[in-house]
Amino acid sequence: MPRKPMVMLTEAMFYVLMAFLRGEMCGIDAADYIERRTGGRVKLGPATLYTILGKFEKEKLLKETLVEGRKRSYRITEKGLAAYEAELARLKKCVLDAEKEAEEHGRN
Amino acid sequence: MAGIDMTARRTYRLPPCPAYDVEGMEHWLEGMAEQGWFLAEDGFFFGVAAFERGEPKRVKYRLAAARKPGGVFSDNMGAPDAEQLELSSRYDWEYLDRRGEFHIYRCPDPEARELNTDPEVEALALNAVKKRRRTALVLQIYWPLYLILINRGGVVLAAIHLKTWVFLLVMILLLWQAAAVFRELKYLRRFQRSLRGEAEAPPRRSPAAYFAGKWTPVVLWLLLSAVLLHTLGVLLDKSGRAALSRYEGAIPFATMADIAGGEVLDYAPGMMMGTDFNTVAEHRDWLAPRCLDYKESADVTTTVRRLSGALIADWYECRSPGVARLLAKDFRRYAWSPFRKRYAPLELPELPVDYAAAWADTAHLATVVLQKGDQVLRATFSQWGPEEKLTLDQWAGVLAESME
Repeated sequence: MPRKPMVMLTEAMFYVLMAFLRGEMCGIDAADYIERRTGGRVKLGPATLYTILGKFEKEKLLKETLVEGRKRSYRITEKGLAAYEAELARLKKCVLDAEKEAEEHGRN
Repeated sequence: MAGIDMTARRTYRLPPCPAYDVEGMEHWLEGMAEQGWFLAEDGFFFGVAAFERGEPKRVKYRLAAARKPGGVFSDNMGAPDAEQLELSSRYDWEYLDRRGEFHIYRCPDPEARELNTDPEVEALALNAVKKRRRTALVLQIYWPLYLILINRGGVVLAAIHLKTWVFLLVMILLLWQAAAVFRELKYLRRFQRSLRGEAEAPPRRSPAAYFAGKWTPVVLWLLLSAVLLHTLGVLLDKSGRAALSRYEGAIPFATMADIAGGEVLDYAPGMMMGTDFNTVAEHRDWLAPRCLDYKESADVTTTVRRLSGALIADWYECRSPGVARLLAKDFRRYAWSPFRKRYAPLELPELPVDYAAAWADTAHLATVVLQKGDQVLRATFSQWGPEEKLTLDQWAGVLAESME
């Protein structure tokens, strides 16, 4: 039986990939970046962050680069970059559709 | 412990819900905290939770699905890995212990960031747990099958030798455990779907139903272990066997003297030191109310012949001819199970019984199993010495004729 493909990215997953676009970093730095970038709107819980990092590493969207004591650092892979760009395109399409709808029916 | 003032007093409680009832566990632990009892670090031991006294306050307890298996053979005894501990401590979540497939965390600040902030990701984390429980379910189903098919080759034979009530109880307990794992899987699946917004939260059992479901089999297993130990002691104790010369009951099948034929002129029991030859043991079971375990070794001289040899016989008076037939077939099935490679079936003539089979084993000794009505006889007969040997047809025929 083929393995199930990665589920559609949730908001938290999308922002984790976005964080790693900035380069190699550890999970905590990624969580801090996300909180800053979203103005505190998106705060990742530690269990959520740990699950996402583990899932992305398993799916080869991230690659572990360094282990220092209890901290592990990662960098985004080509596959991770592609997943991010695909999700970004999807979100842009959603926004475009919403703007068109607003134009056609006068909703703001 | 950060943020919580502890004193030395401890108390112990049984959790009112299973480990996989995430919300139930969290509510219970938070309720205990509001009464001033806080789960101790490494607070779970054999299903009992240890709490330490502190100032009653609102704290948050949360469960997180364990990514890796637990148990004594696992890495780090199934505790979270270093990265997970680093991430959780950064946001004031303290790891306490693992119960089942979940890690338990506590945060002293009720307003602090949640441990899980994305329900879809929390649902994703349950996949590893479900996979491990599916493996556990397969193993749980394997053991009852093993007991029946591999261990003794047949249900009736296994039941009589273990004692039918013991066999049934073991089967019930094994199937009960399998049902418990199945229930857990069903709950986890529903919980996962509820996290994704696809279903309502799974219904929860009352504490009374949970206690009964969890602790009844534990008590029964303990009782069963005690009974099995006692049974093992009885089996190893040969003083329960009676010498053939002093046995007062009737032997309901042909003995060596009968096999030799004619009138007995001389009978000398064989001298086989350190064995239980020339003894008989009687036992009973619900499926076979009378059973004899018979071992005879002798030099017999009759008016017909001289015979030196040994007869090992197991005789059963079963509850019904149907049970007797099943038992006879189980004996044959056990003889040629795939784990006993040296087996050769032997031909028998037409005998005055309902069922007959014969085979030779590793030592080229012939064994027969005969069933007539509600009786079953399994017998192995060996001969030695210079005298002419009886054929299988001859001695099997004598045994068959002797069965009423």
